Amino acid sequence: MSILAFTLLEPEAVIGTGSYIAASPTMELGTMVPMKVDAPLGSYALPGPMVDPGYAASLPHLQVPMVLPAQYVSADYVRRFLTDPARRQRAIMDRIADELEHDTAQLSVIRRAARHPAFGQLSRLGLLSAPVALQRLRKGHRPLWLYFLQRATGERPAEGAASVDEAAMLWRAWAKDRGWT
Amino acid sequence: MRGARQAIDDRFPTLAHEGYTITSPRDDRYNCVAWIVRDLRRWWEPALDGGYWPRRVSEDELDAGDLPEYRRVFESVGFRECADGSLVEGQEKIAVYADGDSFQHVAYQRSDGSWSSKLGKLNDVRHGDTVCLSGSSPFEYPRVAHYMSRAREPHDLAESESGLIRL
Repeated sequence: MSILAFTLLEPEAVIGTGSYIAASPTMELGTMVPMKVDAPLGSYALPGPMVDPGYAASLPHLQVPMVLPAQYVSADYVRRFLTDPARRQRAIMDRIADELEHDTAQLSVIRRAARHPAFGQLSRLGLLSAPVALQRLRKGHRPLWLYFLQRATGERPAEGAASVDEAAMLWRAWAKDRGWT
Repeated sequence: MRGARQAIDDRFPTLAHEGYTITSPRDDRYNCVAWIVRDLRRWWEPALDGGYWPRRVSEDELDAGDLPEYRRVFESVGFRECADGSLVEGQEKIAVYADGDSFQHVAYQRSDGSWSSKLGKLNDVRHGDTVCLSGSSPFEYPRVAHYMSRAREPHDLAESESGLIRL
């Protein structure tokens, strides 16, 4: 039996036939969650969209959505994807950010977004999550990302800004000062 | 506009079932509170850098329950508690949605008795009653906790047939 730590920070993993312990990147980052993965020798596991309600039901103590990590793809694809940890990390953060945007678009009080698990997953990364949020300030969810940046970074460059437009501009200037353009 | 309707239908199934009219494009510069006070340049929310709020409030104060703070601001612009959302000639009513002491949304009653809401960063919509924004979907708002009223003041955008949509 092998241990497959399929977390945000974990490098490429090769799995063979058998049962493994894996963590899905769709869950809290860095959290290990037991999942059974059966695959032929030499396969790779990537986070996939398949939900396994039967397995989730067998673990009622886990208050997280269960997503099977086993989506078998070509070894070449995996090599290209997994050998670039930064790209992989960004893809995972973008997926979490997409979920957060989707689930909070109707909120009239954007502070409520902090209750969403995805908000916690990203904000716990602190400054590491700032580039994702800053990039998304250019799109149509600015109050969300303004509040996110305020909470996740602990910085307040837009304190006192009286509008979303002004605050977004001040955060972009803050990023530029750090060479994050 | 079809994408906008889909986004609303997905989040507000009761509203989708009862029917509504989209009266503005999506806009993340203002929210439902701003819509009530006719300020389409600012997102009215306390303790948000880039949001506007008439007085300084800390997050700690709000965490204990922000409904009283929102009510204070509605009172500051003339609204007072009233019994229900029935149409009264010369009265402008708002419906305040809250989950316990946690403010969630506010809707504006048009002079024909229908209601107008800015749904987060999504669109303004005109809807028939206040109940249709509530339901069991995780995205729907909780029930109306309070109705408030004041002497009716002009709100041309909410009262026009097309709102902010150019026909």
